Amino acid sequence: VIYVVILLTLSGLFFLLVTTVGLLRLPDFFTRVHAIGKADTLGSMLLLAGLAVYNGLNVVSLKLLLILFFVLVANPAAAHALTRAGLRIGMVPLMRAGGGEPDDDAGWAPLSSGALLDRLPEPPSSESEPGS
Amino acid sequence: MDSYFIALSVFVGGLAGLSLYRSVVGPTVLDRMLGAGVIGSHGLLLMCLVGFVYERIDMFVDLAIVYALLNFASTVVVAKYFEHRTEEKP
Repeated sequence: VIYVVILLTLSGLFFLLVTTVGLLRLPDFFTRVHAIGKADTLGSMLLLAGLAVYNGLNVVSLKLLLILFFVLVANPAAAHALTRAGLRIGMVPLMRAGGGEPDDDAGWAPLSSGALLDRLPEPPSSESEPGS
Repeated sequence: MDSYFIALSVFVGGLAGLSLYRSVVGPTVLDRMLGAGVIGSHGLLLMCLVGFVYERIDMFVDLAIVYALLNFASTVVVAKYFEHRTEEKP
């Protein structure tokens, strides 16, 4: 059991390290959200699963698994909310400057402003919130 | 096993401290909120690990549930606020 715990927690720690490197080193807001939304979720889930295996089979493990499933649902939802807010306020993701071939060395440049915003659906009017 | 959990806590806390860089010098507001969300997520894990070190995990796990809820709510609320604020402009 101890080896399973150590394997799970060390792999979770590796994914948390990947998360921090991605947060510090990636060049764009959208790439950073991309790094956070998946690697942080997987690292947190692995570490919490290791702790639940170490704790054994009781109510506290059930609560740890509850936190695990909440992280599984909430962390990508938060990343999606941040990304949608970034698109709606007019941030443009980095694209290939040439626009076409993935092999050419045209470098990275922001997409021409408005080319992506035209494809978005209209934001809902703030007077009629359906969820609240 | 306690020293293993203490070492794991030190590593997770160090990663949270490195994430503070993005939250301080982030170019936009949403970058700062992203860094704050990562710090909150690492603090959640740190809380569970410290609960195992102190052998009071039955108390710390309830605190961790509340902390996860607050972290998610704060991120979504800040994202919604900055999404709808610029729509008011003519």
